[in-house]
Amino acid sequence: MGKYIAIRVLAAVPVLVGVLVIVFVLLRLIPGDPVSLLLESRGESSIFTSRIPLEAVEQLRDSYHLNDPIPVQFALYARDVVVGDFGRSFQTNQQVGDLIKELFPETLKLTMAGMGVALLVGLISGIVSAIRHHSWVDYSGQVVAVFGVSVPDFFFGLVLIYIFAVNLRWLPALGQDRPEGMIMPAITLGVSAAAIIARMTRSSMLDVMSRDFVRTARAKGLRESAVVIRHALKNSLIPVITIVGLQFGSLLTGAIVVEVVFTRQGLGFELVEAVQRRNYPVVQALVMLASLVYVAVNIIVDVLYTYIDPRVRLQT
Amino acid sequence: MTKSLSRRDVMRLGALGLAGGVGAAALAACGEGEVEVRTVEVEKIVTVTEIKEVEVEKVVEKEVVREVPVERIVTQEVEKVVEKVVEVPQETQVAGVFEIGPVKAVRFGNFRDLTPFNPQYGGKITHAAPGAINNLDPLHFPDAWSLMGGGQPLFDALIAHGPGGQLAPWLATDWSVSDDLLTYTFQLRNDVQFHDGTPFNAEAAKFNFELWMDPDMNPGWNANIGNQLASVSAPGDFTLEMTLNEVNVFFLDLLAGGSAVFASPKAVAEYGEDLTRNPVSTGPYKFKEWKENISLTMVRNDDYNWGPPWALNQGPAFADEWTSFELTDVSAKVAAYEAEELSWMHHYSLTELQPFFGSPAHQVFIGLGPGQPWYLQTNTINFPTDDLAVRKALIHATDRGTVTRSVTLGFGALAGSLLTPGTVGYNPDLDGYYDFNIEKANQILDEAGYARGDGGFRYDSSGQLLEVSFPDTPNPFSQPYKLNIENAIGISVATPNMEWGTAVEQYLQKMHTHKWQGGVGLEGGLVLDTVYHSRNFGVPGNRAYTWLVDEEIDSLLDAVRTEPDQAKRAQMTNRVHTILMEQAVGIPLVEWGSLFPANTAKVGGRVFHTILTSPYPFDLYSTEG
Repeated sequence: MGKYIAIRVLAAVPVLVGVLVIVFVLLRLIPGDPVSLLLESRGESSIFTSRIPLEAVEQLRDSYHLNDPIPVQFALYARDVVVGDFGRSFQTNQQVGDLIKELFPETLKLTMAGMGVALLVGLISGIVSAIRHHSWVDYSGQVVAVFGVSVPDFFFGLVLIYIFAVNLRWLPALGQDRPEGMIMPAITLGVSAAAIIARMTRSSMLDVMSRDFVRTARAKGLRESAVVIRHALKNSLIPVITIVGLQFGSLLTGAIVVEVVFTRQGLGFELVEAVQRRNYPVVQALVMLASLVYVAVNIIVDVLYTYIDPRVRLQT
Repeated sequence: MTKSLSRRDVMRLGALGLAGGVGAAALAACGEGEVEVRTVEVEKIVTVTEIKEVEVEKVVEKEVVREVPVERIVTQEVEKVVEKVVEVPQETQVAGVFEIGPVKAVRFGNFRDLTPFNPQYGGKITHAAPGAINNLDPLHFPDAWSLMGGGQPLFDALIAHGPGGQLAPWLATDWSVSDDLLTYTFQLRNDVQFHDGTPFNAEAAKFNFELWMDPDMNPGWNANIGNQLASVSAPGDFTLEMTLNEVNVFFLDLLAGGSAVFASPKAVAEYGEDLTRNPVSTGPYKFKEWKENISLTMVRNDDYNWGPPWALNQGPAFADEWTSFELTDVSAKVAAYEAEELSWMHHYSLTELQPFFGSPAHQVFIGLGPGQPWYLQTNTINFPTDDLAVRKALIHATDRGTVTRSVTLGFGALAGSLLTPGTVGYNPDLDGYYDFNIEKANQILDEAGYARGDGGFRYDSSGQLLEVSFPDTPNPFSQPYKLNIENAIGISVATPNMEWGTAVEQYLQKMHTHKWQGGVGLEGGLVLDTVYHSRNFGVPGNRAYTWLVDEEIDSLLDAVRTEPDQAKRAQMTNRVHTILMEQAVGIPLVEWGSLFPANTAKVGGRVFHTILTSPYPFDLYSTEG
């Protein structure tokens, strides 16, 4: 097991380097110059008009090494990354490492809360639908699941805000600093993942419930709850865990809409802002972080398989 | 975009402000004190306008717009019932506070009460900033947004545009300019401290200016100031002297523009590049926390006692805490305001604010500044707008009222030229340079040889489709404009959707015929210099994309920068403006500014509107107790 994990971790290094090279080069090939955007960041709005001299623009470009050839820029960047320096944000001049330290815990909290909602709702709904197959409970669960997958996050989030913040005033619309401020974002974030988990759990459970060992368990006179939980559920979890792992990864970096609607700090929102502003150091670091998260989640999922199903052996 | 609202102007607005009957509303509220009731003659009535003087409590406006698509003629009937008509004295030329329909307008350099001034200490003020808070280190401000939006309460400037838009003291009590216009001497207050307790004096100010002058220090927006300085010295403890490289009569305006604020030298030494996360300045609020892209929280500076003389409160700020949120999603922002979690917010479009019209708790303000109106800047070197005839036809054909209605609900004053009233160098005669005349526009295009072909669109003699384009990034005016122009004169309008970064790149590569923009600035010469002087074309940040190289424009604008006499500057600026109108380098649309609806159950006090889009914090207080 230890050897397997060590090899997987080592194999992740070229993946991360590859991602970094691709992101670094692509960012510089897509249209949009960071300095132009920094100076024109005010969009089409009505702004205080004052002349910017060409020298000031060039001064900024030089300070970011943007006038150097791409290989030189990469060499300078790689030299700093090796010692853990991801540079400073073009927009705010903040150390990117500090920015990640600030944002990652917030994103992790939201992801965990969203995943909690998704697992709670998804697993229960999937299991009940499978047990009460073709009953009204099953059909209702499926309708809700389709709803969960179909409704866009921003719409669902705004509906929640209008009901619970604007009308009932039970929950805060701007609530990052308060514990109850987590409720609506977690539900909004968890609902689509819950729907996916519910559907996967249901179909996997149905498959397992028709297997011989379940019939045997029932024939042995075990209580239905024991049959479902100890035998059927455990064996149907492998595909569910795969989905949960992928969902976790996507929630961690893809909670952008929820972060925007509920005004929460997070990696997803920051990444989108950084891409729009061509804030190279931030984009590079956050994409690497996202890759790292996916690699780590995949390793964790693989390891979990061995606990869920002892027949699975991790081979190096 | 300060507008001199003479009676003639006001009536012109009433009649020509087609979309909304702005004028009558403005008239009804121009005066907040004694008013004189008069019947006013209407000038330049486009169609039918009736003004009756009767006794009613409120201004009632009713408007009916009927469009006759076949003839492409818009007929408009405006019926107004006006309670009081207040004559604005001709010599004043600026109606500072008035109503635009449901909106309380404040012009540049004027005060307006949110509530009767009954200040109380304590509580919190929360507001939604107009844009991203980019940086809180004066050395690295990438633009003026950081101040306008959220960080303003942290800082003080040497001078400001005070009441009436005149330069007024703040941290500097007095200043003088040498005869050769190169040396500026400021007398500073002697009682000012940075938030870390160190004194603000001439040495501290000099330290900051020298940072902005240093080419190795990447000074961002304040390079505008730094690179004009030959030297800075501190001949006395509280005497600061600056010498310019060359004469620039706009230098004081730059200092008053909002970005020239100071960091504590001790804090600069302590935090270095990380000062942006630990700003230490002199303002009425001190830094507490900045959650990037989310919010900036500041707390009262209890030692503050150097508010500008034009503020009611020169002492410590009223509220304990001030939080600026960066709410990028419009729906989420309006919901947060509706949920009473924001004291006030910056906003752009009136459309989403309709639920608050008429509510006693909510007041919707708009700050109108001098400068440029919202307009479409025109690229003069790309087909087909390289042809002056096409540029002229586009202006004649633009139905400004309809195009801008989605944002202004018809309440904005339509713009006729490239400068707005109140700007130095503005000439009202240029407002009528191009009338709205679709027939004339079609005639110009016919005479220029652009015949109609497939689908009613026009083609040149070689068969090339006449098509103008601008990125939709998005902009609420884009689709109404496309419908307007394509239907009226058969010029195709391409509005490709793209994000801002790609759009900027494409503007720099001269890829589009038009670009939406507006601009704020007191001196027309400075505004026009930035946008239309050929040396600024293609330099990002100047938003100069007409590519019209004209020696007369350049030489006049160069001369404006060195002319100390404002009347002469206005004359030269007017000449440049006239050439620009002749050359049809922009399609003026509407005079509009920043909206800020305020919830008076949460915030009260007095608003002073200056060149910044945010009100200053001195006279605002929490009403929540």
